[in-house]
Amino acid sequence: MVRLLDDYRILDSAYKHGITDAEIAYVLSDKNATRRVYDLHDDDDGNAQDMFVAHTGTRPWPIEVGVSYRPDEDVVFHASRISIEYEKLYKEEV
Amino acid sequence: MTEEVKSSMSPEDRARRRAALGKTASEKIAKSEQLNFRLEEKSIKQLQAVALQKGVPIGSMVREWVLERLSEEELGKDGTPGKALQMLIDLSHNLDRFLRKERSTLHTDSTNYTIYSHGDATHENSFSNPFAKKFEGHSTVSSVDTAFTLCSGHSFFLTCIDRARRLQSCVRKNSLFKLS
Repeated sequence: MVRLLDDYRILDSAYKHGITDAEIAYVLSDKNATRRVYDLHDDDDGNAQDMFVAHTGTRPWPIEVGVSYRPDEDVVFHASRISIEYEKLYKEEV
Repeated sequence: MTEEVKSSMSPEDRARRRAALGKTASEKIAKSEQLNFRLEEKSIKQLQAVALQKGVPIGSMVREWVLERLSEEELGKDGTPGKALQMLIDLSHNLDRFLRKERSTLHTDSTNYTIYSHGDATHENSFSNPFAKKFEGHSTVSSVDTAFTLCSGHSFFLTCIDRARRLQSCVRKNSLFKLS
């Protein structure tokens, strides 16, 4: 049975590209109609990972946010301007 | 990325985690009581000028605009015209009070309205009624039409006109008048 958590943790690595806490929340938010989610391969510890992509209204481009679903917490390990790989996918959908 | 991704987590569990994470993020945003958005330099300068002219902080002014618009977006969503009509009736009462204070009277028919000053027969303003035809055929046409009509005219009520027009837009969008 999967544990549903009421918070997530943002790792320092997610701040490397200048994306803010608020922007990360906008990307992850289920109230953001521009949000798309793509499956990533599991991390080295076997935790499932997702890449969230969305417009936030704060930048002229979409933002991608990587999340790892650990047993006891959801962890944001990456946040940046949308990368070329996801840009193509995202453009096709939004 | 488009290929099938193997994962130790079942698709159902992944969907549940995604949903929970999305909800948590939305709640965080709401709890922060702050919203950030990008606006062009030109627009920000316009906002600064308007706020300065009004003597209020930009944030307060924009917040008021947003709240006003939100209340309009809610109109008719519950399937009843009550709130929308009440707002229009309030506007018409305001205009009535204004006209009494100015000792003016207002004559209206289906396409025009005229404001008479100080009881004499010379009209000082006469405008076509842009709303008359739009609500034709609806049972609520008379009250809404009158309310819209009453909200036109003096410059004092220009904001009322603007509000009424936006109300009309919201009301129509939310299919309020399909209830007739």
